[in-house]
Amino acid sequence: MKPLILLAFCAGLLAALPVRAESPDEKGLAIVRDAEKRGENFGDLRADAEMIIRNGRGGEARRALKIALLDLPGSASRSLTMVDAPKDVKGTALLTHTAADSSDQQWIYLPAAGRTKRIASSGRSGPFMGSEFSFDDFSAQTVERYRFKWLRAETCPAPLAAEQCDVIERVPKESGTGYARQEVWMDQAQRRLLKADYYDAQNQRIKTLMAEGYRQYEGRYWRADRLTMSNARSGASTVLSWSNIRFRSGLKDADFEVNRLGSAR
Amino acid sequence: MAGSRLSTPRAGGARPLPDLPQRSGRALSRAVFAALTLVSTAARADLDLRLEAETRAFTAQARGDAALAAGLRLDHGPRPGEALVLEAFARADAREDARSRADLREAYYEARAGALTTRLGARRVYWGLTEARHLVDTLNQSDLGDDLDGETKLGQPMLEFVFGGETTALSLYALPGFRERRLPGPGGPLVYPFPLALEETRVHADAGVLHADYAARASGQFGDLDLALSWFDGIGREPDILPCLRQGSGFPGTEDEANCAVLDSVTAAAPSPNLLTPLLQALGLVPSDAEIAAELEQRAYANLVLVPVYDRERRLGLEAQYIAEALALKFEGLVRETRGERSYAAVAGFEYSWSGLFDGAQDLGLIVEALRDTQAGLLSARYDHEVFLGGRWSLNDVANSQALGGVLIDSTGAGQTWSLEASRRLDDDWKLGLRLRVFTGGDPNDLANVEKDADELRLTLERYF
Repeated sequence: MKPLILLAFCAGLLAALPVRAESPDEKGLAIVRDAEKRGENFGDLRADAEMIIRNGRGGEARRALKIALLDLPGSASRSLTMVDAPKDVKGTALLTHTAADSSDQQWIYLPAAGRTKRIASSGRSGPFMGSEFSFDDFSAQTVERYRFKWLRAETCPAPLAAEQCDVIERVPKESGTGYARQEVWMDQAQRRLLKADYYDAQNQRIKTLMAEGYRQYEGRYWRADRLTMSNARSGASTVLSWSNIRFRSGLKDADFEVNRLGSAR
Repeated sequence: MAGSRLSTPRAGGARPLPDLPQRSGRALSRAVFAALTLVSTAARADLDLRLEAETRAFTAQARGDAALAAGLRLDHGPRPGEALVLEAFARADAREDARSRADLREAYYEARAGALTTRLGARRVYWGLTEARHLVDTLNQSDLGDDLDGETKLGQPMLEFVFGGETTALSLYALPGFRERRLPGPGGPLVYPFPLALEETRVHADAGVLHADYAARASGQFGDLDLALSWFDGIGREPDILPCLRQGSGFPGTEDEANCAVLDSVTAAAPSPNLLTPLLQALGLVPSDAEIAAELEQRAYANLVLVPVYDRERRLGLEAQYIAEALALKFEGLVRETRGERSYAAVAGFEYSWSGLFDGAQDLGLIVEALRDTQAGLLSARYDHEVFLGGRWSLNDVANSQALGGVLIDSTGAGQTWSLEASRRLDDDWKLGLRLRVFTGGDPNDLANVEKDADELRLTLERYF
């Protein structure tokens, strides 16, 4: 009896290994890892950004930002967002340090008070400057922060309807992001994020992010010119338009030090 | 190819003379061009103007005030890693002359090289993290004339070296020049029991004009813990405000300056009794002791003025903050030594935040802080034994609407200070602000309670250009 069971077990194990199909979780993770690999080692990036915040009732407000990113080994990165307009908060700076283990820390510098404040991770789901983007949207979306599951393949959302996309579910491992899960559309050819639907715990769609106007830089890195975050409930939306994107402008670790947040730039 | 490329500089080097004027001419035109771009760049991108209209109502005194102010900020980077910052401020106040003035709040040059940042000039540097009292914040003098909360700071001349790491920094300061605290004048919210004699201000410095203060601060972040240790040796920014007999009031010791040894001086002013005094007093020929005392007291009262006195102070400050999810634990502690006396002060508390409230965007924070201060003094008494309960409300809307309010309660029963600050943007370039401060429960007969009628409601409208 015993040897037979053992034999059957071993046979089953051996049989399972070679023919075992990739699970949806593994497939999702593999696709996202591939996307991450393609975007790796971009060095640094600087850009200007404009946010147009529409409240869904005809009201419109503009924000001017300067953005600086630094890519470090592994999942580590630095991100700095500086406010140029509106003028009353000009000089406000949001700094994010993401460590190699993808844990991150965020600080905000408030020029009126001359104070640098650390933002608790629980406070990052809130809107950034009254927009539909959250503070969290300005930190690095590393692979380690989510669990993935491949859902299906389908034609990409407009305007790339000619392309095939993978639809992948990503679930944040930590709570406090303000949503329970996302469905993300990535084109199969270039692995670019084209669309993301955000769902709450009741599985109601709360927000949709669209990324458009992809351009390739340095012959390799794809960046969208325009990100639109729409609120499914209120009808409000925010368009974040990037311009003047410069790769490898020579940013260093030192430009992202906490003590330099209040420095003139 | 390589040979011809190499020969070019050699040929140029062989004819240095004819090359020189041409080169300097080019350099000059380049400098002029650079200067023009410099000016136009600064004017275009980094020159900011702010205009402000303000009304204040001192509700307990049934009077008010109005003021207009302008702020100008120039932020210019002549070369990468260098910056020049200028911030000027001017105000015209209708009733309180002490507030009508201009000030250079910042004027400094900054250079960065590797881990070192050097700054030279007038700056404002903020230390600390608690809400009810900015205890360890030391370097800049407060402008209480602007607002009693002391959060408006005057520029302090300094040479600053910062050695920075990722999340750590060591800052060293040399602070030449001392600025006196600006206090509300006549027409302001405070009703002083005696006139302020700012011209009598005493600064007990060791080395006169060439005196410099020194300070250092080390800060670091260790996981969820933020720590900072600071040290200061110089003229204490907080004056002792002493009642003194006015200069030239006729009391002993007031010939050249105000005399702050009031009791001694008044006692010495009494006519010295002789053997006949009791007899003459009994006959009613000279004033009785009681009459003399009453007359002296009246004369003393009429000649008392308030004199700010600054002394050397050494202080060691500690800041600590620990963040656990939505809870931030905060601590500021201070050991100081001034006039040979050591005193301790601390603020400890927490802020708990609820985020994503109401329509899913608003934040609400609960702030609780306990304050202690063992220093004896008119101003520190405000923080000797208090509890602060407050709340912060951020709507996180397009108008950046927010409010911060609370009450500072003296646990020995000496009164409460209620405060509310709220602001929101109107359109993109206008901002509306409201401040309310109410003092309740203080002893109305206590002369030292200068804030008893200082209740204030303030509205500001700012326009940004």
